[in-house]
Amino acid sequence: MLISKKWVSEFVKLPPALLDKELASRITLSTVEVESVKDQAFALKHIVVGIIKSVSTHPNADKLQVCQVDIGDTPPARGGARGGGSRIVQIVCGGTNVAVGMKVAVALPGAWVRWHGEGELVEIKKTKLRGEDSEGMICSSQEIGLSQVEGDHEIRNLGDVDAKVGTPLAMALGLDDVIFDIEHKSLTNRPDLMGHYGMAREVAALTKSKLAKYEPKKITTGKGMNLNVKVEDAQACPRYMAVAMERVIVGESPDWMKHRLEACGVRSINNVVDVTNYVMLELGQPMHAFDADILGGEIVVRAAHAKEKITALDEKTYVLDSSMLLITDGKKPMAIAGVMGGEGSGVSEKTTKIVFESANFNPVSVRKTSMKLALRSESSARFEKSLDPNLCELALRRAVELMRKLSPGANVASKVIDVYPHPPKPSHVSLSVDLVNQRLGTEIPAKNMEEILTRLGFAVKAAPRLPPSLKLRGAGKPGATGGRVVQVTIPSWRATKDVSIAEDVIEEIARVWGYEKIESTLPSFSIVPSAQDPLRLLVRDIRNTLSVGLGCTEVYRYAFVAPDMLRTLGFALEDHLKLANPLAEDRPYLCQSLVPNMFDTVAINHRSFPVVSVFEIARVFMGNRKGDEDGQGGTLPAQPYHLGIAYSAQGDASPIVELRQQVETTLLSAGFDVSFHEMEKPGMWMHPSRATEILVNGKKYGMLAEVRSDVAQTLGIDRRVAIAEMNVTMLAALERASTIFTPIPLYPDAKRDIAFTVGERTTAFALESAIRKASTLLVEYVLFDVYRGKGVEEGRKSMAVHMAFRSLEKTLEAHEVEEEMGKIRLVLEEEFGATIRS
Amino acid sequence: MKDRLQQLKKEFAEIVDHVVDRETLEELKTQFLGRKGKLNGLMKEMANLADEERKLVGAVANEVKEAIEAAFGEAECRVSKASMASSAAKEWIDVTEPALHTRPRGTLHPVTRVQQDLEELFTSMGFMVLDGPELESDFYNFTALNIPPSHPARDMQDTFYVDGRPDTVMRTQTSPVQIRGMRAYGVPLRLIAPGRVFRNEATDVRHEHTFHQLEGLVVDKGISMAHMKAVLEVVAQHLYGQDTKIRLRPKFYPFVEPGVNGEVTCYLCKGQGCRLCKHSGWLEIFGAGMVHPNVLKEGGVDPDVYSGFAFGFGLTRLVMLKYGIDDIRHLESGDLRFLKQF
Repeated sequence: MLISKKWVSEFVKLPPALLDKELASRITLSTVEVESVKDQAFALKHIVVGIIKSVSTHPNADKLQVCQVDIGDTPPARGGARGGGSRIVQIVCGGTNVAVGMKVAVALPGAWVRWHGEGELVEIKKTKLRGEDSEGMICSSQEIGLSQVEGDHEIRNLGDVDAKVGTPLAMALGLDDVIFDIEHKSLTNRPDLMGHYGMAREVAALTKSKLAKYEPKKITTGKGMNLNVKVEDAQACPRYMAVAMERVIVGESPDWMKHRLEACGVRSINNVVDVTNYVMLELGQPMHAFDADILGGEIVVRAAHAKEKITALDEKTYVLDSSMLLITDGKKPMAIAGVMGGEGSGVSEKTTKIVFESANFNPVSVRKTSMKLALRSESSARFEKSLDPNLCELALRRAVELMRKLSPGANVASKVIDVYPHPPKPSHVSLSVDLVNQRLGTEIPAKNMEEILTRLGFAVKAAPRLPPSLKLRGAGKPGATGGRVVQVTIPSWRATKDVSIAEDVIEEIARVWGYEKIESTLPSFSIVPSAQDPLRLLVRDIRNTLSVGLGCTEVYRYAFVAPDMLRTLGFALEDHLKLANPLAEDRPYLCQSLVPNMFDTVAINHRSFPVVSVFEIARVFMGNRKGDEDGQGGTLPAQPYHLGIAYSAQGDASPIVELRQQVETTLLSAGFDVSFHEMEKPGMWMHPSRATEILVNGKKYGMLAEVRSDVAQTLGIDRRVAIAEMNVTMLAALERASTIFTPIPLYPDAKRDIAFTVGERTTAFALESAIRKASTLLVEYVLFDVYRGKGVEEGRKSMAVHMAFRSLEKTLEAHEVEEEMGKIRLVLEEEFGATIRS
Repeated sequence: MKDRLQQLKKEFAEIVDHVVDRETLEELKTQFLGRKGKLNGLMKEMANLADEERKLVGAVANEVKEAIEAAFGEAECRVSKASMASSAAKEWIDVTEPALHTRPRGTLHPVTRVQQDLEELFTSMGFMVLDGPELESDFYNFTALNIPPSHPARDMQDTFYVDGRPDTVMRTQTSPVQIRGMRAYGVPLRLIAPGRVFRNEATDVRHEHTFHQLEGLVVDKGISMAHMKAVLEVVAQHLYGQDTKIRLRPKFYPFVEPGVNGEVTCYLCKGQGCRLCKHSGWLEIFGAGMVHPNVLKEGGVDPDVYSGFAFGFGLTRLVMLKYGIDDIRHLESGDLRFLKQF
């Protein structure tokens, strides 16, 4: 929102030494964020109004003219010039439209211009052009930033500007204001600042300056028009004021008003509309003006009928519903209440009678209507922030006052209508001075608090005696201020939304006192250690093992997944929770598994990286399982943390082997006893014979599988991919093994290797289990080679194992080891049909 | 006998000086000191001597043996030094050549890195690290945080809702953990809650519908804004150095009162003004305030006895500032060209 310094200065006398930048910073630190400060005159420094006295052709250049220009005798360098006098300077100019007697903008030495409206700004200097002296430049609009129109190279004719020669151009054009741009969102809770008077009040409090009263003339009731207003829904329209005026001559607004509106980014339309906008910018109260001849004398404020239509001032037709409020003439809709007027009922050139509306509408109703219709206006933006109903009257008085000024023959033609069934009572807050200081950690004297509040419009007086049963926060324990309690009355413009409890008042004191004055003090606390979350510790361990230990890269992906992806992987869509309003229509489902994310991550990276080794730890959303309580007696869907790991390497025909090892290492180093069990019913995306369950303590905690090549192909992946997934939340509930030292063995190991061939389908797991069972002295078993091919029969594989035997009682004799080996050979041959090779 | 022993010593000394390689030296060792070597041969003959004589000769034999061993040790040293000199040239390798076929280096996500760093800071100050559901109840995400049903934050434009479950939302902030934390652990309380949050917002270079926050809450008797300022100063200085200052300015959040926006002096220009801080000298990195009495009540805490402060850092923003990431969409892209840089 744009705030004009000149406008604010009408209501508050600013300290003369206060720089615009300082004021902006004060407002930002205490009130709302000032995004930028623009000094309109800054760009027009050293540019004045001049009159061309003579024009002659340049002796050495066909396209140039030599002009004698009167620039007045009070150059702006001396400051504060109002123009006048006479001083002739010679200026060489290339403009084609220069003529004797033309009023022009003259950039004098020291001014910054943009040649022909292009490139960087250039400083004007006294110079010679093709041998002729030139003491400045006669400018086009583009050259001094007054026009953005492409190719607008003509010299700016200032014939319509009422200013003497020598007048600084900024002043002549009314561009001598400073504009503060206030960040919109920061006004959310301060509707009182959406007008210049409110901002002036705030500035007065911040700078300790005097604030002028806002007292437009009372309206003298007129005759001639019988105006009737009926409000059917006082909830949606707490207050409705209106008054009619006649003998209004619709025309252009004077310059001062246009400048004000333009400075705030509002286009001038005609004097009537401009008055309503002016009042809105000044007070923050939106208004509307109807053509009284079209409206008639009846105003009914009612809910729209279903499917009722209105064409608004933006020339679009809106279809309404019964939740929306309308201003009607008793039959037809005339305006969408608080949002926008109707096309037909507005003020036109022919209008002579008008009705001003100054009403208060319910913020929620206006916001919902404006959202449903996708129609936002300056008016709806203000109403939806909760306006003070007291503004209605001030605004109406101000509008009539201004209208009479702008169209002197106009007068009031009706009673002042004021439908205001339930005026709110002023609200009070009891506040203990000690509570303020305790909450802020300050020692602000009571009188300073009182001064701050009073300047902001709060009334402060000694609190009435409280009944002993009523406890007041922070009171009763006398501090530096002796436990003083005051009663604070909240001004109507702050009571609509922002201020209702003691804490709100504390904020008022704190921000104006200055947050920078609060001295930091660290709190002291007991040294009881904080509770630890086993899940967080496990997640941290897993992350470290996988990234640092196993070379995996951690990824973060979205919680949302596309139906195509789910179908590709064979997941049932109906099992998934679905967003009611997904951002990307293509990703509406909440993921139930990290497999889609893992699969997708391989798909987007496999062309750039020969090895894709990634993992993600994130929540998944289980619609059919119960999770945390929802605070209202029910439960939320379960949202366990899952770990997804993917591995795919160019040329690796069985990535499941590497991935299995990653899973094993990760779980083992986290202190879990891990084993793998072939999956009986592999999922649809899984390679039918390369899928396994991940077991911890013999119970299922996850799965590991290769992706079917036809499934991989659907995402354009032409190599093998393995994916594992585990439920980390479940794992975190398990006891994690901690290492217990076993004594270094007293007797040496006897080491033996064995090599044998077995059938292809014999699993390493089965072999190891059987062999370990066969020998009680076996302490170590390491498979170190598996070989298929030359020398080994088709359908069989050769395996080689390191083994170590040990006794706790003595050094084993060779024959004792041989006895164990014999048992092992026997098991291999009899249980597995092995052929011992060595 | 003695002479022969002395002779042997002399003989060894002469030969050993000329040996230059390890193999010859080993041969020599066997020849003289081995089980069937010259010294042992002579020693065996000693058995035939008379007791007196044998004692004398034995002493000499021992002396000779020690001498030979010593000479041998010296020679060994000399030979291995000499051989190093020759193998230096022979065994040259390119030490800059990378090891082949090693496991690639894995990386943690930048958000994980910054989050872990802050978790360590806060746990060192005695804060708990709590977590909460991402699919949250409307109650915890809004109502309990003093956000009434008509509040604009609940609009479909800002919040993801779930089909068939009108009372659940994808949490828009980590603040629900404030209530969950107070209800579960009571007071006094110090907690942080890092986590993923969701906003129904179109994505572009600076906006994401999924991002990360780090919430904090301190509740106890007599907690003041001065305490809040001090804790946030500690965090700011941890992140950006000892000289970092913080600045608070009013900002409305429904669950705090007073509510502030927190800025730190720009670490790049030290507050002088630069492109990063848009020439203001300050970087906006957190929101904070004194916990609203309604929120304390929802947490089961008596606002007449206790007070507290809460704060929230844009974890994603901290990450982007720290690493100079210019496009927020990289973070959840899964693109290894981005992730492998950390």
